[in-house]
Amino acid sequence: MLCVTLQPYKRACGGVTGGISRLWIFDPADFDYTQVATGDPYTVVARRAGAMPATAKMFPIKFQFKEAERTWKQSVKSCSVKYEHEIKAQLPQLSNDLTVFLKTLDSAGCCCGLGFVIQHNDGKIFVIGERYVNANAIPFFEVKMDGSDGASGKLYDDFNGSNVVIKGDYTRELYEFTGGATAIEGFE
Amino acid sequence: MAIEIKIKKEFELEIVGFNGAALPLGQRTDIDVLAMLALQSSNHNLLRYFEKLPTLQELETAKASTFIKKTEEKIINK
Repeated sequence: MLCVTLQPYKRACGGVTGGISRLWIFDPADFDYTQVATGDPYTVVARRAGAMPATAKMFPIKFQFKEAERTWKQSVKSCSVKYEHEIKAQLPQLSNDLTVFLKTLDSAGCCCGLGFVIQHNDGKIFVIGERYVNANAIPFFEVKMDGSDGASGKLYDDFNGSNVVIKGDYTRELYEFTGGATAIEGFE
Repeated sequence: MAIEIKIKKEFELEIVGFNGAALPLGQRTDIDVLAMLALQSSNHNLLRYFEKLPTLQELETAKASTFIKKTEEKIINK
């Protein structure tokens, strides 16, 4: 305490599961998250003034079950901290719909960034790429598609589809959203 | 003590995701939760929905009164 205020880390004893259950993509300019105090989880998600319900949505991404993962890596140079976030999700079948979807990710990544809501299999929900918290613009959390690949496969039982890779660097790990998945689904 | 929380008419159909649901504000029965979060965070994006909003202290007092009442009912019904 003479130098810095630390705090304990503890969790209720019990098992935990890996993997991702659901993914939603959103335009970071459309949504505002509510955080009562710095470091608290987000409790409310709402459209910002001017965001139209017809277009300002949480768009679900249907990925191959058991083939999505969220990872991050922390590094530090002097006192400057960086968290490299990455989401990988396998989207089956190359198609025109997939082409258009990937084009929108490229455009959004270039122009305004991407936001994702990620529900883990253990029930926790995290937000990446958000831009507005308590109606204030937070430091830019730039998230874009970078490093995706795809393949048709050679044999009948080879994978045919795309491995979408989403990347974004920030100053911290992701904040949790505790309003529940139903609260997100309401914006689909 | 009854407290009055009123949503502005133009926001009754507004979808807000919190407390495990995303029904339009006009249909929510847990609007006191949103009111408390709006006041605690001073989030103007949420505060704009309300026509009448009690103070944070009034909301906390009402919440405590409800809790005490429910606890008393549980004890009486035992």
